[in-house]
Amino acid sequence: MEYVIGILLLLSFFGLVYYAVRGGNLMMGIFVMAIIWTVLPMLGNMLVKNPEFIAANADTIGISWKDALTKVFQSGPEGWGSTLVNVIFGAWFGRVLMKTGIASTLIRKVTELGGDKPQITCILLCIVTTACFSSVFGAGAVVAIGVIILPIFLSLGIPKTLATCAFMMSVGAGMFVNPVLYQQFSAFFLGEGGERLYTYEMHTSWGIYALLVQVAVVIVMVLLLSRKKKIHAWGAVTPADIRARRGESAPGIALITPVLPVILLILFKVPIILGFTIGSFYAYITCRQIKGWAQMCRMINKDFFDGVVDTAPLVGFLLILPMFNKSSELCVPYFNALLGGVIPNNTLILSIVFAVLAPLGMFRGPLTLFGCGAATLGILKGFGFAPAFLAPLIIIPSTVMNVSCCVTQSWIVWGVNYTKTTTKEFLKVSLVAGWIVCIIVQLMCWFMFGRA
Amino acid sequence: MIKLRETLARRLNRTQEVRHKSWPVREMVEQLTALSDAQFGQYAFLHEPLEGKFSAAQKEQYIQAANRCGQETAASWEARLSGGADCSESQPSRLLTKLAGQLGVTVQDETVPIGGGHVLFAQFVEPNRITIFRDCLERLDLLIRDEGLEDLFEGVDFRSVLLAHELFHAVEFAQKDRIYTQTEKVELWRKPFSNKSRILVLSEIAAMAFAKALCRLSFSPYALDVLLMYSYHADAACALYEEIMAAAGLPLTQETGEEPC
Ligand SMILES: [Zn+2]
Repeated sequence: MEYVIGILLLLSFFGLVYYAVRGGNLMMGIFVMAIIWTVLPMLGNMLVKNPEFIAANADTIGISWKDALTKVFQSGPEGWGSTLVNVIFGAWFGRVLMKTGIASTLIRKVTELGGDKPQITCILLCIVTTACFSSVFGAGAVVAIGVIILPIFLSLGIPKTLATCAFMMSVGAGMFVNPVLYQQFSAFFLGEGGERLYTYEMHTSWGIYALLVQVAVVIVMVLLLSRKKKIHAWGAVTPADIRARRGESAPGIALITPVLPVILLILFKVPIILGFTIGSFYAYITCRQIKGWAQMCRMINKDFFDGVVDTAPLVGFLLILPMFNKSSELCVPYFNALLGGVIPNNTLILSIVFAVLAPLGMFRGPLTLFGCGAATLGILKGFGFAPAFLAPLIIIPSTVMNVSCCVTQSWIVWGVNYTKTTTKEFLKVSLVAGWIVCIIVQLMCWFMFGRA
Repeated sequence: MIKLRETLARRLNRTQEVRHKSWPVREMVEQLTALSDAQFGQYAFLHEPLEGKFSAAQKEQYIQAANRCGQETAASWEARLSGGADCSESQPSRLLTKLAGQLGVTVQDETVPIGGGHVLFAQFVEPNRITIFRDCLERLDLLIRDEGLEDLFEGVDFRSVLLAHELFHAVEFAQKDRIYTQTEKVELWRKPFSNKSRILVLSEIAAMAFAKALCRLSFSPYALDVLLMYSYHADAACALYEEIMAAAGLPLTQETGEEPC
């Protein structure tokens, strides 16, 4: 019986992949999956007879319908409330960087260093992008910075596919230490009492190197691919772009703002929401934006409002996703029964398998926590690996293949559309580059955490 | 895939939209075609990544010099290609075909639809390939017919305008070491370091002047930015128009202030 349920679960999983690739609405797809992955194992729990199987999974199988439904549909989204709050503060901070002209000034200064040398300017801009997204999170910020940087890339004659890919992977590189993204990951590693088993220190201890590896791969990619023929295009851009680029210029001391929250967090353990708040006020003050109490209140109100609007498209998805994550925990015994024999429990083999199969992190596949990876993680947790090893193992493909490289990531969808790259062309470049990053970082993490 | 892409992109674009007044097409065309090359030069500089490095006076000089470069290049090629024959007789399109042949450039017409935030009209890929995106031209024909603008563009062959612009880039590529738009440089770094950069927008300004001369236009081809954009995003075209008029020193509207919450 447990095998039948296992196979049905696996089939529904492939159904989701097929649905995602066909372009179905992911939020609803994942909601339906949460229902299927709750009902199937619960039915299984009522039907299984195998005493060994029951004894081995007594905890999971003994759960009542009421508890299961609460776990998936109530506690799941609630548990992500704190993540959502962080996302909103991050989006506010992103807005402040735009409004004060700090982002545009930084980009202009860097462009003025590189000039017409496409490779130098492109690489410098990629580094700035990574720095910005080490703190800032959200599609709104990616779009706001993208509309400044991408036209510069294109006017320098960089091919559009490379331009899009380099920019998106630079965003993704910053995400390796991004506290808001970390929050989302850490929600998968909570103890019985809800305490964090995977801390931000653990995350940055390897994340900072992963960031450097991804930046290095982007640089090599730019050097290799931009040697191709230069392109002069005549076209027009929607003028919102120019307006953003020509924002007021920010003073030199304000330009460290983008990395301020993450530096405060890493060096002084300042909680991230406070970090975002300090960063925002630092920006307001150094850019002389505060002119009086009433005006300040209005301004902060407005920026916060815009930040919330920026996150709005994501909220539904962010709150439905944990239902799916929680439901996958119910399925663990059945996946174990079906796949337990196939999955290696040696850390080196596991790291190699994750490196080789990294592309399965795309299209919300089994190696990304923003997709079906929650189930994979559930199975692996069953083997008793330490979070210090397990977390990087699955966070790597999630951050690289999904957040940096996949056309199901909201802001990449925007970028591909903005530069008119085809999905196929984009994936050809991003898949290879992302895969290389995954291989290097997986091996690095095995040396750091897997050799116990 | 496509559906998901579009809905997401639309949703993300919405946060970027700026609300604009829409302008009658005819009025926009009449205003734009009346602007001088120098005025369009100011608009062009908005797209220059190094714009912040130059004073207003410097920009004016650059604009003049780039326009002169485009006109002179056009004149010299025309003289060379028509080989003493009465050049006012020769058709722009025939002249351009000859020029493309001389430069060894292949010209290709691409019919796939274009669009997105960045609408492409034509491109030159080094060393010798020009692509004209026909989609925008077809839409422009429709627009001119629908809006009854034929009288404003009598005898204008828009494809030739795009082609001429891109051919200028081919000329630049062939004469890299001596044409003004490629040799004029600005120092970006402080001593003792040095990084001399070209000013990319000069190429564009000169390419427009070149196209204007060869196609015998009475207006700057920069006006096409608005017209070609219009059939894709009318809003964006109107915003572009406002931007051009503001850059030209003829602002149409006051900036809308921040709305209080
Ligand atoms: Zn051009």
